[in-house]
Amino acid sequence: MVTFLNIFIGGLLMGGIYALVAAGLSIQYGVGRVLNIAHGEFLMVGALITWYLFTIYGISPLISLILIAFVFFFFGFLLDRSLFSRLRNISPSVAAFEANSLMACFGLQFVIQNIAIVIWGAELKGFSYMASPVNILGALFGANRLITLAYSLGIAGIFYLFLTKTRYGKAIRAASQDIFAANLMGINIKFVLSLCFAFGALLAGTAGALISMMYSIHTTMGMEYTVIALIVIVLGGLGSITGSMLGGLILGIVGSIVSYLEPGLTLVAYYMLFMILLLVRPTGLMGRGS
Amino acid sequence: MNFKLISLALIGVTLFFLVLLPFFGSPYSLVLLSNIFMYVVLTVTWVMFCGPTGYISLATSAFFGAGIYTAAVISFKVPLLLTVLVGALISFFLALIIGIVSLRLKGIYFAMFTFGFVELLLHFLLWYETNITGTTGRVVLTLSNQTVYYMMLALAFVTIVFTQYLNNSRYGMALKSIGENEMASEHIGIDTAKLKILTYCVSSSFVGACGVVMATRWTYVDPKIAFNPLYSFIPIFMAILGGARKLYGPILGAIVFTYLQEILTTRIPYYYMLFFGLLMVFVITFLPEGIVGIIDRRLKTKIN
Amino acid sequence: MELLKVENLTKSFGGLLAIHKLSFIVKEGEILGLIGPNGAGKTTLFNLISGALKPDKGRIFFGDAKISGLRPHKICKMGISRTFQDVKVFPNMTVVENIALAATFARERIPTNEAQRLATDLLRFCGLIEVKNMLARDLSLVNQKRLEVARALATQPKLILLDEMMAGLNPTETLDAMRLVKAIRDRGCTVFIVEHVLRAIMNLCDRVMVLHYGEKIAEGTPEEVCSNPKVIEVYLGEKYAQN
Repeated sequence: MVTFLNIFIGGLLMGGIYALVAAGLSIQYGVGRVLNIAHGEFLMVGALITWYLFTIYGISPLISLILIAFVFFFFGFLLDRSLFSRLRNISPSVAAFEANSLMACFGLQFVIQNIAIVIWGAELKGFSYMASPVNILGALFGANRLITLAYSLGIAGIFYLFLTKTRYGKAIRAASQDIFAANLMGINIKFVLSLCFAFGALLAGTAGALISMMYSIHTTMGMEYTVIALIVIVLGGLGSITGSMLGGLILGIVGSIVSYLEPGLTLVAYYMLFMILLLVRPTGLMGRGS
Repeated sequence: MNFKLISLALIGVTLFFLVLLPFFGSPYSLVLLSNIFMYVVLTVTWVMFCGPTGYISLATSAFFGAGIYTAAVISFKVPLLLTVLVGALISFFLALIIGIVSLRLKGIYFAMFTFGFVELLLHFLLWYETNITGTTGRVVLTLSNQTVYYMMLALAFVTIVFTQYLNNSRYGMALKSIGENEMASEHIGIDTAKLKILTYCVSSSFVGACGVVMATRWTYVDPKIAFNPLYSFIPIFMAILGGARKLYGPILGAIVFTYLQEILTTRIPYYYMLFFGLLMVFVITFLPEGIVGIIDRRLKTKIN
Repeated sequence: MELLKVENLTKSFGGLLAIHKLSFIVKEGEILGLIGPNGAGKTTLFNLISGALKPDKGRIFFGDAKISGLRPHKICKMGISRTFQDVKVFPNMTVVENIALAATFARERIPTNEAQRLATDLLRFCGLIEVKNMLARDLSLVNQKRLEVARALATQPKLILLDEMMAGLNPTETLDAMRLVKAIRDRGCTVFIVEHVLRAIMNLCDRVMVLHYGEKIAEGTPEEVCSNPKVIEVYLGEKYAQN
C-alpha cells in the first residue's frame, strides 16, 4: 500500500514538474503556431542563472525566480517581435510558417546552448535547496517538490483566470481559435502573439529555476526537457493549459509506474505513449476534435 | 538543346575528374569530398520526398543510424556490399513502418511523429545494449579513404540520377500534386498512399546505405552517436540553404555546408555550432529561397 | 440502362445523420440533378460515391461492380470523376500540367503523346486554350472551375460528378457553364450535378432528385419535382419565403 502511494504521489509531483515544463510550449505552439524546439534551452538558461546566482552570490532561488520571470518575458517578447513576426510576414501559409519557425527554433537552440556552454562549460552542476523531506501519508518527499507542484498549480490557476476573465486573455483564446477572426474583432493580433511567446519564455525560465533546486543541471540538458514538453502537450492537446496540466500529471504517473517496474525503459515508454497518441488522437485528450 | 548539351558535358567532365581524383588528389581532399557526398545524399533524399509533398520528415537520423548500426553489427562478418545492401533494406523497412502508420498525419504532427520515432529507436537500443547484450559501444570495420570515397561517389551519383529521373517522370509531378492538394490528386487516379510510402522508403534506403559506408569512418559507435538527431535537422538546413526548388539547390547547400563546417571546426572549434545556429536563423529569415533564389533573381535581372 | 446504383446508403458523423437509407439510380447518358437546402447531404453523397468517405451502411454499384469502400483513385480509374465545391486545382502547376497529370494517371500506361492530344482537346473543349500556360493559382474563378472540369474529364470518365460548378459565376458565365454541361453529356459522359442555381437545373436536367436532411423526398422530371408540395415546403418554400 505504501509502495502504491509512493508511486502515485511521486508521479503526481513529477507530473507537476512536467506540466510546468510543458505549459510554456503549449501557449507558444497552441496560439502562436511556433513549435519552439528551443523551449528546453530557455529552461536550461533559467536553471543555470538560478544556480549561478545561488552559488556565487547566495541569492535564494525563489528571488531569482521572480527576476527570471521579468527578464525572460522581456526577451521572449523581443524575440517574437524581431524573428517570428518577420517569419509570419514572409510565410505564404500557416503550414509554411510552422515549418519555417520550427527550423528557426532549431537554429536558436544551437545559439542558446552554445552561448551557455561558452559561459558555464558543459559539466554537471547542482545545488540543494529546501530538500528537507516532508512526510505525506507515510511517504517522504522533498519540500522543493511540493513547492514546484504548488507553483505549477498556482500558475495554471492564474492563467485560467487570466484567459477567461481579462480582455487580453480573451484575445489570446480568440487567437488560438482562429487568427483571422481575431483580427476582424479589432484585436491587435501581433501584440497578442508576441505576448504568448513572451509568456512561454517566462514559464520556461521559471520552470528551469525550480528544477535547478531538485536535479543536477548542465548546459546540454535542454533537449530532454523539450521532448518531455512535446509529449505532454500532445497528451493534453496543443494550446490548452488545463490540458497540459492533465497531460503532465498523466505522464508523471505513467513514468512513476514504469520506472518502478523497469527504470531503463521510462523514456521508451514516454515515446511509445507519445507516438500512439499522435496516431490515435492527434488533437490530444482535451483538444478540440479535428 | 544547346543548354542541355553543355550541362551534360559539364557533368561528364566533373564526373571524370572525380573518378580520377584518387590518383592525384591528397588524402585530405578525398576525406572532404566523401563528407560532401554524404551530405549530398542526406539532403537530396530528404528533398526527394519532402520537397514536393510538403511533409516534414525528421527521421533522417533513424535511417542513417540504422545504416551505421548495421555496419557496427555485421561489418566484420559479411562482405562490404552485402552490408550496404542490408543497411539499405533495414532503412527501407523502417520507412515502411513510419509510412504505413503515420503518413496520414498532416503538417507538424508528422514532423513530431518522425522526431519521436528517432528518439524511441535510440532509447530502446540504449536500453537493449546496456541491459540485454551488455555492450556500451561497438567497433566498426575500417576502410581505406579511397574505398569510402568511391562508394560515396557512386552512392551520391545514383541518388542524384534517380532523383532527377523521378522529378521528370509522371510520378514526380504526382508527388508535387500531393503537396498542392492531396485530396484532388487522389481523385484523379493517383494512389497517393502507395506513392508517398514507396518514395519515402526508397529515399530512406539511400540514407541507410550511406550510413553503412560512413560508419567505417567512425571506427567506434554507440547508439547515441548513430542516432544523433542532428542528422535529421542538418539535411533540412542544407536544403533551405541551397534552395529546395531545383535539384542543384540541395547539392549546392551540401557543398557549402560541408566546406563551412571544415573551415569552422578547425578555426573556431568552440564557436562553430553557435555560428551555425546564427546562420540557420539568418538563412530562414532572410533567404527563404536559399542560394538558388539568389541565382534565379540575378539571372532574371540580367535577362531584363 | 443504369450506370450507378445506390442502395440503402447511410452515413453519420458523430451521431449526426448526413445520409439516411438513400437509394437511387443514375441512368446511362442522362443529366441527373441533385438539389436540397444547405446541409442536406449533397456533398457528403458525392464524397461517398467518389470514395472520399466510406459509408456506414449500404452499397454502391457502378455497372456490375461494387465500388462502396474502394479508395478514390480506384473509383476514378473505374470511370467516375468529380469536381469540388471549393475549387481544388493544383495552384502551382500550369493549366496544361493540371490536365495532363490527370490524363496520365487515370488510365494505365497511356502514351505521352496521346495524353498531350487529350489535354489539348480538353483545353479547347473547356475554353482554356488561351490560358494554358498560366499557373492555376493565377486564373479567375470561372477559369479555375473550368479547369476542374477539364481535369475531371481528362480521366476519361463514364460518369462525372459536378459539385456546384456555377456558384459564384455571373449570368453570362453561368450560361457558358450550362452549355459546357450539355456538351459533356453529348461526348457520351453521364452527368450527376449538384447545383444551387435552380434555373440551370431546370434547363439542363433530365431528372432531378431532392435531398432533405439526408433523405430523398422527391425524384422525377424537373416539372414534377417543382410541383411536388413537399419540395415546395422544404426547399422552394424556404427559399422563396426568404426573398
